Amino acid sequence: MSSLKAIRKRIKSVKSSEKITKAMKMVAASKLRKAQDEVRAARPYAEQLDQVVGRLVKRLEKQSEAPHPLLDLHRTQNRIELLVLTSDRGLCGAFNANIIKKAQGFLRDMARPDRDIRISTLGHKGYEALSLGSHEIRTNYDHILEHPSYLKASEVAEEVSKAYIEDNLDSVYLVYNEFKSAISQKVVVKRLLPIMPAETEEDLTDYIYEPSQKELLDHLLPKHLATQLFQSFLESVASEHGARMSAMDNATRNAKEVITSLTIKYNRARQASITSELVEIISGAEALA
Amino acid sequence: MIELEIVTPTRPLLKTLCKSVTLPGSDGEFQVLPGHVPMLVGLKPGTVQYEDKKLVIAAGYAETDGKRVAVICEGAAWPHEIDLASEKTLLEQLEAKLLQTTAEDEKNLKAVEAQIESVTARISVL
Repeated sequence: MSSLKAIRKRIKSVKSSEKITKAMKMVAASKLRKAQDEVRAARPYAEQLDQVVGRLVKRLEKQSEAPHPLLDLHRTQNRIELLVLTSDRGLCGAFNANIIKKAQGFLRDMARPDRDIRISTLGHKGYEALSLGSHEIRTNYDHILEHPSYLKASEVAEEVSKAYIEDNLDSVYLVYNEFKSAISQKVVVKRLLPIMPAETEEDLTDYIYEPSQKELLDHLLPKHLATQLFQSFLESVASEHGARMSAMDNATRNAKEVITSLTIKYNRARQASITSELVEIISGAEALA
Repeated sequence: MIELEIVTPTRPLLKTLCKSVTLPGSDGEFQVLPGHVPMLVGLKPGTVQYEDKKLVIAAGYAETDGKRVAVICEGAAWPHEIDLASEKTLLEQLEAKLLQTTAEDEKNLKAVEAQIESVTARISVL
C-alpha cells in the first residue's frame, strides 16, 4: 500500500530532524556553559567600573562646563542612535524576535517630528529585520559575536564615540538580551552615551585626581564604554546559547511526539492491510468450496 | 579598617578588609589608610601590598572614599601564579623586539614598552 510507504518515509525524515535538533541542543549546552562562566567572571569588573565612573560623573555634574564630550548631559535629544544587538544565526526561538520587537517599540516611543533616529546593528539577524524599516542604518557590525573579545568591543566603542562626537549625536542607546539564567533572558534598553551619573543622594566632595582630571577622563571614559559593550556582548552570547538550547529541546520533544503518533498510524495501516488480505483469502476459499 | 576590592576583566581577584594598602600610582607609589580623602588615581603596572601580602597588577585605576578602595585593573596575579623562568624568557624576547622597533613606529614602541613594564613588575614581585 502506498500510504504505508508514505508514512514510513515521513517517520524517517522526522527521525533525522530529531537527530539534528538533539545535536544542536548538546552543542548549545556546552557553549552555554563556557559563555556563562565568562559572563560571571567579567561582571564584577564591569560593575565596579560602572560604579566608579557613575560616581565620577555625579561629581562632575556640578562643574558648569562639561569636562569631556562623552559626559555632556545637557543635549537636546534630537539626534539619537540605537544599537541593536542580536545574533548572527537563527534557530534560537524568540531570541531575535524579542529584541527586534523591543527595538521597534523604542523607535515608536521615541519618534518626534523634529527628531532624527538612526540605527546600527550588531549581528546579522537584526540587520535583516531592521534594514527593511524606514530608519537609516549607519552600519552593521558583522561577525563580532562569534568570538566576542575586548579588542573588538573597544573598536566598536571607538567608532561609536567618534560618531557621537563628530555627528553631533545627542544620545546613544543599546538594546540587548541580558543573561538571567539558562532558560530566561531579559531584553534591556540601556543608555550608553552620555554616560549616566550614579543614583546616589550623598553629596560627594570632589576627588583628588592623579594624574590630571583631563588625562584620567580621556582614558577612563572610552574604557568604560568598551567594557559596557563587551559585557553586553558576553551577556547576549550566553543568552543566545541558552535560548537555542531550550528551543532545540522543544523541537526534539515535538519530533518525538510526531514520531509516536506516526508510528501508531503506521501500525494501524499495516494491521488494516493484513486484515483485508486475510478477508480476501478466506472469501476466495469459501467461493471455491 | 578599609575594604579592598580588586577586579580584572577575566576574574574578580580579591575582596577583603585590611589596615592599609600600598598602590603603584602613575605619579609614584602611595599608601591608603582609613579616612583617606576621596581620590581617583591612574595605576601603572606594579605591586600592590596589603598587610603582609603582595600581588602584581597591570595598568588600571584606583578609587577610594576613605572607607573602601576599588582597584580596577586589566590584569592581576598572585606571586605563586607567576613562573620566573618563563617571565625571564618573555622579557628577553621583548627586549630583542624593542631593539628592532624603530623610533618612528611610535604606537608599536609604546606597546612593547608597556609590555616590558608589566613583565618587569611581575618579576619584581617574586
